[in-house]
Amino acid sequence: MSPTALIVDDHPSFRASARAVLEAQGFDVVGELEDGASVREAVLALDPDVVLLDIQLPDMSGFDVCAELEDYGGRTVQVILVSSRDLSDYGELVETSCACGFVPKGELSGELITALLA
Amino acid sequence: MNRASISELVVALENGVPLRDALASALGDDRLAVFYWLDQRQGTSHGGWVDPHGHAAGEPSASDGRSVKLVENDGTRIAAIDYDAALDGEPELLDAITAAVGLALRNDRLQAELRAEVGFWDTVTNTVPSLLVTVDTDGAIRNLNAAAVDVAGYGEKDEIVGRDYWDVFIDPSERAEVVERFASLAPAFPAGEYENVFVNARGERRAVFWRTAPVHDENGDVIAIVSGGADITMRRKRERELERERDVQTRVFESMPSIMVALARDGTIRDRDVDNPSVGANRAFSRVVRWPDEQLVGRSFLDLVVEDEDGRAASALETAAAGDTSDEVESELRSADGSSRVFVWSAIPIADVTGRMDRLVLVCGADITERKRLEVENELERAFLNAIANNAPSLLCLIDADGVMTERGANIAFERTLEYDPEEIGGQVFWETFVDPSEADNVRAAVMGVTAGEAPAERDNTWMTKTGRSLSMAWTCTPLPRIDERTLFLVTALDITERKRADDELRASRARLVRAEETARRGLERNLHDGAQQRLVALSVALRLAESRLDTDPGAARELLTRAQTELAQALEELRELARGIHPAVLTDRGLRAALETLAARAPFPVELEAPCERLSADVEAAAYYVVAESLTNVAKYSRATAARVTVDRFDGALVVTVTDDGIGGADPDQGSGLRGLADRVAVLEGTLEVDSPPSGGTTIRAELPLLD
Repeated sequence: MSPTALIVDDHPSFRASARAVLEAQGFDVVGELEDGASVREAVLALDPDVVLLDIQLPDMSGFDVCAELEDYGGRTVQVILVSSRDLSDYGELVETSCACGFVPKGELSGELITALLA
Repeated sequence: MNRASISELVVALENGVPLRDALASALGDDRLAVFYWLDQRQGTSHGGWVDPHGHAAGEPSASDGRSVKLVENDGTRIAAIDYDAALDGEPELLDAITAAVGLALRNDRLQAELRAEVGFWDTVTNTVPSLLVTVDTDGAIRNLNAAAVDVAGYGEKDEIVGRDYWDVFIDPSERAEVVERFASLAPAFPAGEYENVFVNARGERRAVFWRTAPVHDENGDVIAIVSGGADITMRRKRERELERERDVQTRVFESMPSIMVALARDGTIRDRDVDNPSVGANRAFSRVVRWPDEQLVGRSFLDLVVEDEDGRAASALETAAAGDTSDEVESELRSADGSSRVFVWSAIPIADVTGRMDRLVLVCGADITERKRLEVENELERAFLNAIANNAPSLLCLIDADGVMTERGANIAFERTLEYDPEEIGGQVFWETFVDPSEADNVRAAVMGVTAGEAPAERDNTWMTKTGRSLSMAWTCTPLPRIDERTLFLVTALDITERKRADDELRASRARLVRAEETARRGLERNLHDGAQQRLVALSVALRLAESRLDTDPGAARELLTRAQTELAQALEELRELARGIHPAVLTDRGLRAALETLAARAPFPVELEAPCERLSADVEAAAYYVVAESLTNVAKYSRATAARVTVDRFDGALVVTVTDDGIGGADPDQGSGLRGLADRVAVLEGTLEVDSPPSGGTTIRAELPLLD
């Protein structure tokens, strides 16, 4: 059975690229969201294995969304943070979050995601 | 009365006994009174009767119970006997008395005594009793009266009688001379007058004026000399005092800085005195007028007065001539060198110390030429200062140490700025009337500090106009040099309301510009992030994906590359658009008109454009471009206009930019940051932005940008 993924990003062009990359890597993309408010609900409903989460969402920060997902019904969802900015722009925020990794949007590739989830 | 009695009477008379006493003694009663006829009374030109006491009297005449009998000698009347009519029955006695009186009066001695008693004393002094001394031909004193005893410094007559008169009445230093003169007068001893000074027995200095006359016997031989004297010690003393006073007066007269000149009553300048032909004026006068004395004496004082048109000088002299002190007169007096000086003077009636006239006029005055000049200078200076004060843009006012405004102590700027009439200002307490009540205490404390000696300092406070407008004032309070008894303080203030408002406006405008800049940066960042960056990210991901598919699925890879190309083209277009927003390249390259043409072409409605082709300064071109760009954006967004018109024109040293539309109007520059931001941008170039957008429709934005050539 293929691993499932949820994409959260407000830019449709990135969502399309991300879907293509994830699907090429063998993921089953179970949903796309464009803001942070509905993420928790969607995770409960769809139960994805991976959430590809943009840090700069229009309504809230990806870090806050990430914190909300840390403890939901005993299961572990793996969060990969993405941003068009560089890792260094966020200082220690990425490291101290519960996300399992960070990928600059421009460098998104199936291999990188697989490596982070391993 | 028998013959013996008559002899006794004659002897008594010869012995110097006054006739009345001699008669009374001879008759044993006082039923007789003798009136004397004096040919010429002292001080008068005619003869007259004197009563037995030496007082002037009318001609004696018979009355009730009294009879009068004239005594004549050689047909000349010499006396009258006034007697009890009861004696009319004794004609013999009356004849004898008459003969005795006639005999006695023929005697010069008695004449002298009479004269001494009545005539001389009438005029010289009435207060000093006459002295009478009789000496014999050897100079020995035979008789003297009480007054003479007193002057001699003795208590009793007996102490003197029998002594030589020069031992008693003549100073030792003169005795030898007097003895010699006395001897030389013998045997006739003619009548004479002399004055002498001696120290009497009590050590008192005495001055006596004597008249002497010989006393003859029946044969015409001199048997005695009678001297009538007057103690003139007091008069001499007074004379010496007067002399001293005159000396002192003369010294004062000479040394006074005031001018003084003595005039005769006719107004001519007097000489000093009969022996001194120099002018009767003091040194100050001579120094000032500089006329030689010979040209002044006898000259009319008014001749020296330059113009006496109102006649005040002449009338002052008349007033003094009539005996009153005149009012003060101000006149110019002519000097010998043709110049003149100004004097204030008055004319005073004075006694003539030289005794030649009964009254003189003294002109007494001070040279006020310098004072007048200073007055004129001060007046000019005051006018000058007033002109400065009244034309100064600063507010100026004078207050006393209690903060009370002086009368008329404010300049025009003060009155106008605070909207008060000049007469409303005096007497007001400065901080109560002209200062905002909430700051009155502060201002009061500041002024009180200065009045107590603190250094003046500039302060900013809110003042109030009469109508209640608040004004921001930068002011100071400074003590002025003392004038009369008051110390005044000058309050100077500058109305900085406008400056402050402009400052505030500038600050707000700067803040808005900074905010607008910040907003623009944030917008730019967002645009880059949301637009071009996202496309490039997608492009990057797509290329990576295409690369990974190239071998396994060449068809999918090609499709990805095609999509990537489209993505790239859009990214480039977005970047161009963004760059244009930051600064349109066409404006830099081809100028305002070309840039505006681009704007007009891209507008979603027809835009009529009228603009010069010339290049202007980059600042002005940019500002004009943004005015048009922002205005057209607003037209498109809000106005529902169908067309717009843009004009750019040079007018009066400025570039005037207008954007007019036919939309719904009602644009409010205070709402929304677009127009406000434009106004700020224009203000940076010292320009102005006007928005005319009535609710009835149509909006005109007009910007005026100064062109600094």
